[in-house]
Amino acid sequence: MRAFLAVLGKELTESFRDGSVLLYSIAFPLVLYPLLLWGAVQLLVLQAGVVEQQPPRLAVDASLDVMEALLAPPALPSEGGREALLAGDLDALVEEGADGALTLGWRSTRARSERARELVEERVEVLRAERGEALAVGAGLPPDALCPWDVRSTDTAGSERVALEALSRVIPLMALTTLMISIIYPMVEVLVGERERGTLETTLVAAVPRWAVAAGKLGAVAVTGLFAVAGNGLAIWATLASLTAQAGGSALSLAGLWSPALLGAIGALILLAPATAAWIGLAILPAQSFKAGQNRATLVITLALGLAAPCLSASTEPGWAWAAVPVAGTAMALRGALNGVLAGGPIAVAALVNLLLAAVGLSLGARVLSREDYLFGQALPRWLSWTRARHP
Amino acid sequence: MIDVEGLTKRFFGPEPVTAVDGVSFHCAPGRIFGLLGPNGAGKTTTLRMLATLLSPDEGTARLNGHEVREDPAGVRGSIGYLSASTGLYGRLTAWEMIAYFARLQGVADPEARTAELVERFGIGPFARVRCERLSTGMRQKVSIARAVVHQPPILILDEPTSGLDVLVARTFLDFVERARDEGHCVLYSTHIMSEAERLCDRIAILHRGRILAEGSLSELREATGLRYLEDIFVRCVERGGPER
Repeated sequence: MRAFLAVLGKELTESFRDGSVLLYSIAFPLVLYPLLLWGAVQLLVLQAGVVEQQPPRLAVDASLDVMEALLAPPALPSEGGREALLAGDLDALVEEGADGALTLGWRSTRARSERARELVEERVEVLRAERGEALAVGAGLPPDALCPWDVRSTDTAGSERVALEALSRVIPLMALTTLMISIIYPMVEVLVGERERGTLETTLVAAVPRWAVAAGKLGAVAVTGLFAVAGNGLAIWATLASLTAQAGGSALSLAGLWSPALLGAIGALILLAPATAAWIGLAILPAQSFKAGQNRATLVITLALGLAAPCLSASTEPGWAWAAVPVAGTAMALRGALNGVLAGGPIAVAALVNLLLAAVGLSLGARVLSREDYLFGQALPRWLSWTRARHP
Repeated sequence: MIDVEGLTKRFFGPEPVTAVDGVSFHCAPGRIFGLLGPNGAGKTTTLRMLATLLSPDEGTARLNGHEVREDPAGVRGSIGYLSASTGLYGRLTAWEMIAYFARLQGVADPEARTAELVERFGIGPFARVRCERLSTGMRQKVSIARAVVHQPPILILDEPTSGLDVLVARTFLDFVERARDEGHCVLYSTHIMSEAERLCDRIAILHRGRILAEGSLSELREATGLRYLEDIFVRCVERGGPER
């Protein structure tokens, strides 16, 4: 433990005196990423504003009663409607078939078309209800006895709920990405950089257990990564608060954030940080130069993010404690590597296995912490509802 | 203090090579044993095996009673290792560097020991300066302090004066002589003949992984009939051992 603490303290001291670590692991998550988020939202707001100002262009090719019913949105002549829709000159097209069925054509890739679709769907629902009612009354039945058309289910949560769900999917991935990116440089530095400068040798000839050296280095890198995630989280919160205020809403409060689900998510991140550091460490161990180490780490992270993203949504059973498996496994493999016991092949296999275990552990952890799809699936909507209730 | 018997190390790859081939020697306390050889002779590989950085394929090596494969931790606690490639942590100050290794090596009072070494090696004026800003001479002093912080009975020095200017190298050689006088067992690898002549009580000439000749300087002179170590070295290397 003495040696572990000595290595941990030394690595942290060195890391926080390194300009590059401060830039990549602190300044970027704290300043650059929130700025990018803010900028992206400004762009979306601008785009939404432009769409809002443009009335959707709708064509109706139907019987007179349908046309009357759909007159709420501005209608355009329907001649050549399909061609115009395909060419982007129309946003939506409603056609009535010989059997009276309505077909709605729209383009999902255009926001303006999306808005036209929403307007038409609302009106079509009204039309269907009126027709069903008329048919029933004509047959001498109560107005609600017949429902000749399928009733479409629509999302009653509204745009706010959709936005919250989107955020709850983005934020865990953002935390994971920040963690990984902020770990690359320090990990390459403490392993490959030290080997390049000859300082790793200096440590390895000291009377210190190899596990203490490995654990101290992993611990320091993990702490750096967690600093980055925490800083990034706070900065993102400040950005969201600013954006909420910009949208005319109330300011967000941190107080409502301390839900059990979020605390669990923080716990999962604390487990994930050393695991992430460990398998990045294993991946870069064979690298002989700093640049080669960075290249290897980038490749591994790309693969990991590819694996982690689907795992986040695909998990079905609880068991976040499994996240501890890759930590122990990689620590053992790293110890073996430092002792010169393991060669490149087994290290690669160990890294791959641990990568998979990390992804599985992550996904299981995500599931036990939330009954919805994602880690923050419940925490974030609850938090925003809570803050709105406190700050109407 | 150092007993090496039949030490062998092979590296496998497209062209397998036996870097060290059955090397044996002994070094007693208060003596300096020199490993003399050209680049690629196997000096560094030998020393890295003795420092437990590499595992030997064959043979045994016992340092201060600890066998390198059976008790590597005991070996590491008994040696101070210094090589030309040994680096300092650039973002730590000289004081932090020495204190860190004192803590790492389990020194009872790391700060007191650091203060003692800072005083002994004249590090005081730059003790609070980061190592990356130190001159070569200053860095070498810190390196020495780092290597002896746990008072090891054995010093393993692998071409420690490579890249040093004459004055700094001279200071370093003085330190090695003092270490010997204090009873340390010193294993000194070099390809600089004058250093070997000045320092070493016994010299082994290593070439292509094998010891071609071993003895005191006078014994080597007597065996070859040559006066200068350089001539002795060249003759041994030219006659050489068998090709590996």
